[in-house]
Amino acid sequence: MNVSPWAYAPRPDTRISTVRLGVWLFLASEAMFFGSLFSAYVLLRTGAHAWPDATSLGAARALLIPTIMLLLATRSVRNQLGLTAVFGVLFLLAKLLAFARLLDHGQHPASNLLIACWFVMSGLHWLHVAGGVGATVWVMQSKRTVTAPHHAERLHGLWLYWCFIDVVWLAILVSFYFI
Amino acid sequence: MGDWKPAGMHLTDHKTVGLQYALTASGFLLLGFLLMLLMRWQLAWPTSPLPSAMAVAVGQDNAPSGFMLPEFYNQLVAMHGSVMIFLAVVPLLTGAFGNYLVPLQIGTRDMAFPRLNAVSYWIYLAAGLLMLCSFFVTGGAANSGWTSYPPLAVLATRGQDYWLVGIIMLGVSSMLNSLNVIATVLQLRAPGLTLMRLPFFVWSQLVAALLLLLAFPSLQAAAIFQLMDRLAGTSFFLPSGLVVSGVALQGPSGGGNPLLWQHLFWFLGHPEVYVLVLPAIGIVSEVIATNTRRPLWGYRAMVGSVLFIGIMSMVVWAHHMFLTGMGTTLGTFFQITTMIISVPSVVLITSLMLSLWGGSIRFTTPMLFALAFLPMFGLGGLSGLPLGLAASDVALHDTWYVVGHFHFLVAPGTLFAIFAGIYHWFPKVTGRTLYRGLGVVHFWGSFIAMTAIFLPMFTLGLRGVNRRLYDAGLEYTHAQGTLSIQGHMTWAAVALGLLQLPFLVNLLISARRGTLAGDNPWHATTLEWQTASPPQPGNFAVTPQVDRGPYDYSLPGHPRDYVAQGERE
Amino acid sequence: MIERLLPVAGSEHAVAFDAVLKSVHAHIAIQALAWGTFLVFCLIRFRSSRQPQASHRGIAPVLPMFAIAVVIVGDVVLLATMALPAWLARATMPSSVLAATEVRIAAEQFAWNIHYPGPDRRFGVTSAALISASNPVGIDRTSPDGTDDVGLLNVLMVPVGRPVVVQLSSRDVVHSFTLNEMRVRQDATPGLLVRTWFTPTITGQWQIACSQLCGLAHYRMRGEFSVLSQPGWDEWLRREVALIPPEAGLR
Repeated sequence: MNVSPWAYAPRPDTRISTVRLGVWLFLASEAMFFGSLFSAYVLLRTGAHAWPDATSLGAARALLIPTIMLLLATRSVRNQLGLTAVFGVLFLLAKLLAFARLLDHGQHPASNLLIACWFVMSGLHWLHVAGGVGATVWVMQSKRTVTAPHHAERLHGLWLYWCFIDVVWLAILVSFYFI
Repeated sequence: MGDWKPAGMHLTDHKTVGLQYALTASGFLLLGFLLMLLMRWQLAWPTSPLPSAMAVAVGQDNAPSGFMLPEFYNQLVAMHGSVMIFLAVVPLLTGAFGNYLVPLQIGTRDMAFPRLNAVSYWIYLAAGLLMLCSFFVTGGAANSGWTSYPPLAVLATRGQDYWLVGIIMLGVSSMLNSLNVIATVLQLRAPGLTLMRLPFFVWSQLVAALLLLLAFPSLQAAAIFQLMDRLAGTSFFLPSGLVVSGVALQGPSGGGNPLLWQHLFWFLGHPEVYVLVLPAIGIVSEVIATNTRRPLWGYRAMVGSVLFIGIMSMVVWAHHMFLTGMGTTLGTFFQITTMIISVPSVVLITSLMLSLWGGSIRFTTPMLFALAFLPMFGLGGLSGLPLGLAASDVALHDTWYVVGHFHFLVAPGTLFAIFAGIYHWFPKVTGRTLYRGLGVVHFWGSFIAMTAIFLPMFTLGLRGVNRRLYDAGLEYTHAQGTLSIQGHMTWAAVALGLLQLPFLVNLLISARRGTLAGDNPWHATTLEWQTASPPQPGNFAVTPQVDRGPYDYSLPGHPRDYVAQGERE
Repeated sequence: MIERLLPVAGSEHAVAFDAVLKSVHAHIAIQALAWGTFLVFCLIRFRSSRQPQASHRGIAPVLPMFAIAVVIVGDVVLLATMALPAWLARATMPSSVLAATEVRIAAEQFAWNIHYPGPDRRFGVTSAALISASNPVGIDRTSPDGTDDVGLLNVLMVPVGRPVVVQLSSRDVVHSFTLNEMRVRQDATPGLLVRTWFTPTITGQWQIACSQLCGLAHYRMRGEFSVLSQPGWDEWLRREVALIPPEAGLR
């Protein structure tokens, strides 16, 4: 009602809506967060005398299915929000199984720095996906309470967030398995 | 955002959130002060028992028969710093002043995301209480300094976990708050209020928010790593082959790097210093412009400087680490960046000094504090020079000189700015003016006491006396001549505490009985003075329309000595 | 004024470092004095009772530009001509270090374990398993160079006039090895071996201090530190070698 006129429409001089700017600022902070995690990973890895082989985390192809789930979740934001939540939950479950399998094989965070980095970084990514599922459900739920342009801005913000988690996930995969 | 309900407004209104922050952070400020008094007592009389009232408050576990244990002293060291920085001064500047004033100064109803703003406060409160709870767990509170260097912090008692979780929560809170400030400033400015027409206070808040938004995540990441090291047995910060108390450390795999923490910590730590400093300069700028009756000198240069500081503060962090054995290239790089960042700081303080020239200076209570801020803050800044050069840092690193340096910046510096801000905006917040007499007593008392506490620290540091020593250096021959100075400093600290009583009395009495202030008691120009005192819900009856800069004081040929920013010709 | 406060300058580089310290403080004093005078002048000259009408324009920008330029030039000159050269000269170890006295120091909560290579000037093998009250460094006496090594707790003795190289490490947490009179302060970080060096120019008896908070007894993590004349040091080393217990450190 009494919110600023530029909540969902771009303000003429900044050329962005407030909702969208908020999402971008949040993502900037998140980028610094994951950036810190990655620089720590790089520093630890380059400083190590010996770095264990990534196959101790399980074969890379086992992560193919969760990766596809994640990408499908992002793809569905625009048209099928319900599917986004479903694919997101599937990713979460698949990753939980993968974590459990690692622990079963005696690979604990305390085993070595590679496993520790993996648990922390992909674990924090897991939490971000869980947050994404929560946000998706919230946007779906509140669709009827807000105006159409407002909902559209929220959808766009949500889509940006899912893209961000995809990029982080791919960066984790590449840096642990292929570099 | 979106649903503005007058009924629910109470908890999400930016003025409510600002006041919640103000009261809570003031409570933490008092607590940090009390922790400091305990510490100072121990430093002044390291071999005597505490006075009985203090001993009772501290408890038998921490001070058996009144003699403080070194374990407890180290908790005081860590918690005084953490409480003051993370729970008191930064929340006062950003949470209290920022939340309350930014929407008013840009002529809008509220923050961009009012609900997130309220959430940010409640997370901050929870984090603060969690950190304080740690005093009551086994082994007491965190005891590895506010810097929490591993491996010491990884090996520390349970309280460190509370500290780390608290820091992670504070990161979330400050992210929500700073995101809000940036979005508010950029998106909700009143019509015609272009960026270069913003009051300088708003600029300082904007840059401080950017720093918090981008730098705090690095400490959050570090805190998560350290928590994992402590709880899950990882070794992010633990190298191989640690032998603690003669026993090889079992469990962690090793291979980690203690310096990694220092890098991640100071990547936040240094921008955090500017978060402590920039909004303070912002407050002082407003007070000086109002009480000299002329515009800030070099407003454009000041805006440029504050932006430049924002960028540069991200590339100076390792000047806190000159003694770790860093290479010559890195060392040279960080000394040069440190010298470069001192230039915009000089521009800021010079501009404020020059603003006095040609003014018609009114010595109101806020102006007294703002004027004292200039030399005190200047001294704090200048004493950073020898610490920023590795060659002179060697003699001073980790000595009392460092303590003197940053306390001059934060205590008679930032804290005086906060006092100036309270005296300046109290009439806006309550609708009543603070008594001047009590304010003058408060000012001169605090000014003298602060100087007496912090100035001797430089001499102690030059003599090579280290900080964070439980016995103030009793063990060292070179410190023997300095022990009596510790006593003087402690009495000055006690005096400083007593001299806050007139201030408290003033606040309590004036809030009810002070003379009614009216909308614009100082005849100031910025938008917050163009509405009622206290401002009604929604702030402005009519959205202001702006077509002039923030400081149109003493315009030539104008009948009045100010033209308010929202005024139409 | 500052030299009255500073500890005695007992090493070669201390003189250069103190020169930086003094110049920086002179720079600070000049700025503080100039700005202080300016501030007081403004407060008197421009008080509202004397100056009821403020000037919108204020001071012309020429003088301030000049003032800021002076500060910048001062900073640059200090950095480029004194601070960086003094520090770089110390960061790179000179070749004369070949003739240096070498010691290894392992910091631990809350003591300095000091390992002298003995008359053969070569360090023997050490092992954590051999650490005991009589062998704080854990010298392996069966190793070829280890028979004449001296390991002492909290006692650092060095000869005057020759460079001393300290190989610094830590067994547990971060400590900071400090010799105030030598202007030496160097963090000892576990997992990292760093070298620091100094050339004592005067003899005397002082203390080693720890500058980094390292736990509850950090405040009393001090050691003895003496600079002896060369003959005095030779004699001291000979006596220490003679004191090596015959069975200590044997596997």
